[in-house]
Amino acid sequence: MASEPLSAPVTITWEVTLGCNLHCDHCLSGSGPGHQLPNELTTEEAKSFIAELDEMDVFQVNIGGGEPFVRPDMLELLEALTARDISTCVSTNGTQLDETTLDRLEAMDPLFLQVSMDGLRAENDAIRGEGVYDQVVDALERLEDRDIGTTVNTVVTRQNVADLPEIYEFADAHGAGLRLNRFRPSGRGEDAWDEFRLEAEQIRFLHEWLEDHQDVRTGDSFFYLNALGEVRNDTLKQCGAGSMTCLVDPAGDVYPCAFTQWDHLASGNVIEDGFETAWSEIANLRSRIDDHEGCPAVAMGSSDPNGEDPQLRAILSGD
Amino acid sequence: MPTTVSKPAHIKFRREADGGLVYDHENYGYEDASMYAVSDTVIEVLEFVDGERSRESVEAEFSPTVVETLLQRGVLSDGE
Repeated sequence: MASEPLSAPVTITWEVTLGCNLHCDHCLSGSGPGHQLPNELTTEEAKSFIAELDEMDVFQVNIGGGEPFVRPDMLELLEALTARDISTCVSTNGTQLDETTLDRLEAMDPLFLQVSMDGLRAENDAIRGEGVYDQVVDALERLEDRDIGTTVNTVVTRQNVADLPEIYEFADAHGAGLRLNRFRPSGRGEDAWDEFRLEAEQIRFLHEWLEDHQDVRTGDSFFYLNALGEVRNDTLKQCGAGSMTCLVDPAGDVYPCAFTQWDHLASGNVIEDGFETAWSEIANLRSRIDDHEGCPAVAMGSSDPNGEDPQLRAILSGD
Repeated sequence: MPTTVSKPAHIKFRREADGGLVYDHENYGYEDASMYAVSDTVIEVLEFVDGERSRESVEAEFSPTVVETLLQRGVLSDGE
């Protein structure tokens, strides 16, 4: 991309709350019931931030959490985003999508939903909670009749990697795409890393399966590499943290990405400093997260902050 | 032959210090989106089209070649 810092990010991830009705074992943000921060953005502050995103011409906002729909004003905020023609993608656990909510979502454009499913019933519910699989299936069946672009999202783990062919068929049968994310040792995933991370044989299976299913989307900066570390496609999958994208946390603090939410990489607050100011400071931070093999965030968080991402080889080859 | 050209809804654009960006996005996630660094001319065409405009007027303001190239690249689409 351009050598000069962009005037604004291409896309941002906005974690709107740390509250969630579920308490998943691998949650990257460590969200759960009652986990809302006391200083999460108010509706008025959130709308002010959205207005600035529009002024800066940010193309796309990816909404995450926590579970976004536990925020009582979530639909109001999504309407504010889409009314400004900002492409809006919402990551949800799928348990909060009643018909009234879907009616309002269907009226929004451009809006896309990503519904989490981390395996078939047994594997999904072991991670996400008893009965969640059936709720997600119900939501996807109702979404099938709706004009809402929907993707099933699966965090690939040791336990569910063998389910991928069936999950793919399930998503396809419901008119939804499939998107895979790498399991990462972030949030509660840090405690579950050794239990859930893929083994070498599973990594090879995953990459071979992806080669045969080119329509499966991959939402992780590692999936542009195959099991041999070779570039398998040319998209925006390279790390864009702090150069093309950034993360805004529920309190409005800005970081390069979801995995670099460390004080020394914070670059301001969207309300106290304004997002434009925070983004301009990101360019300085970016120079500190370059030159790492693999994921810069993982490398910087490791015991050798200047070295290679220690997960890279584990992810590519299972070492 | 269509008499108008338009900007597809999934195409977004903005000016940068040097030229501009065109972002082509139709699905969840940015990973399968496309983004191009473009010249000032492309941004000027998109601003001039402003949603939809007669092909003749765009060709007169810029050139038939520019319009045809942007149609082929999907940055513009045929209107009515």
